[in-house]
Amino acid sequence: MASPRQDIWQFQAGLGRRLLQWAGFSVGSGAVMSILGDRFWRGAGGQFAGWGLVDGLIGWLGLRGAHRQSSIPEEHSPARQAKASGNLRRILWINTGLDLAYVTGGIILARTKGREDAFWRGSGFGIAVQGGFLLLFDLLHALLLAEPRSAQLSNHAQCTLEPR
Amino acid sequence: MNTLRATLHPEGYHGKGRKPPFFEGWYFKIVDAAETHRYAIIPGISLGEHGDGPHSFIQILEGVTGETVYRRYPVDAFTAAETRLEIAVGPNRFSSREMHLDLRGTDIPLQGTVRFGDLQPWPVTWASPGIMGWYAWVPRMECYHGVLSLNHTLAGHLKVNGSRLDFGGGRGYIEKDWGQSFPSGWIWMQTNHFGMPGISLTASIAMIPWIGYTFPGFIVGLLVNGTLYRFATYTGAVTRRLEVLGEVVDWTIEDALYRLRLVGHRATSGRLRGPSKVDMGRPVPETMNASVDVTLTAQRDGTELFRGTGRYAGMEIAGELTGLLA
Repeated sequence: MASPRQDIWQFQAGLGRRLLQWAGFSVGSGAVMSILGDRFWRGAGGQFAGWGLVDGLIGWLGLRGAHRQSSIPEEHSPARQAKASGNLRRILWINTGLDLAYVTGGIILARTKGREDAFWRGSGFGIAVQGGFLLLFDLLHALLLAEPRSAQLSNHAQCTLEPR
Repeated sequence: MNTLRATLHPEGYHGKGRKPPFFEGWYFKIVDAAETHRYAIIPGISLGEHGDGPHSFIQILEGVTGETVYRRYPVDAFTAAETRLEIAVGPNRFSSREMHLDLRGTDIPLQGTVRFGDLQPWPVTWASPGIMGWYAWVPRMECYHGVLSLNHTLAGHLKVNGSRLDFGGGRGYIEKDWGQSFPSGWIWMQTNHFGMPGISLTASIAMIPWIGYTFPGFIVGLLVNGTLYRFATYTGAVTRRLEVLGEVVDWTIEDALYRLRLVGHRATSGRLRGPSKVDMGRPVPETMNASVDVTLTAQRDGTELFRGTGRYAGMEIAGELTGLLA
């Protein structure tokens, strides 16, 4: 018997909720930077607000999907749970790769167009910060969806528990 | 490094280098296939400086009658591994594979070996090392909790007073606590005897002292068909209702997706000894004859996802409950 797997819909709902929280922070802080800041911070604030809106939409869709799926009894079967876990894990790993590209792109923007113009320097900074957060966020959740350490212990116990 | 390792291994011993007061106890529940014999066997150690002094122990709760035994051993009769479940108290041995008991000379003179199979431990990850979630990383908490197997099979037999008790095909559960003391008040329920095999419930709520204030913290796990539904303070779940009316505990918990209702029915208790900051003198009434009605529904439209009654439930309602009830 396998080690218990966390209900995938609870996991997805938690992920969506945390992304919404980050989105709220990003939009709020982006608005403040855009209104009160100089040219650099207006560039960063625009990125914070824009990325925050997109994150918010993704988080809301994830939460709504988890809500809908969790109320369908068939979605709680072991096979369906395993499939949904695998799909989400794959999406998170792909996103982790994309996030790395965002961070790199942000740094390049700040060091190229940003050399001449503080607005683009701020924009590059904003992209790198948002991408950096998403990199950690997606990586952590992908790791959390990986087989837990105790599963190995359990399997080990199983192997050694064959009738003597 | 030791803290890292200890946190990621809730099954191991956490007392190395710890100053008193400190206790650690492992709780092994076994129920035979016929469901006529059930025991809780609790090896542990208490490093209190006062009261009954430092010692190791084995406690037994006979689940049918509520009879209990507390067998005291010297501290040096206790050994335990730090990164795996492997304990020895006197001639008694406990591991993730089996427990070997020799309690001759006590009022419940159990003797023999029971083997464990297909353990289902609460998942341990870096972000959530066990049932306590990220709280497991918080130092100096009053009491830590670990669930080492929500449900597993049993084999082997025990002898008691000349009778041979066969545990082949039975079911077991293993959890543990460690720290300075049990909380000031708590409610705990556990059962893995539902209509179908493979279902297990563990639920506890306690007053948690933390950074100068106290709050009611809870952790609940419902295992159904290999899927673990978690409801905990650290997952954002909330207690909507918790009442203790006579012999009935009525507890409703909600998170964004689900509503979980637990209705526990208390039964005759035995009296175990629990840790205080002084010693192991705190009386803990525990039954293994309770039942718990469990209903899991979807928040979205009220669809019933699981309903069942767990038998032979372990249940403790102890200490000051005022702050827990809602």
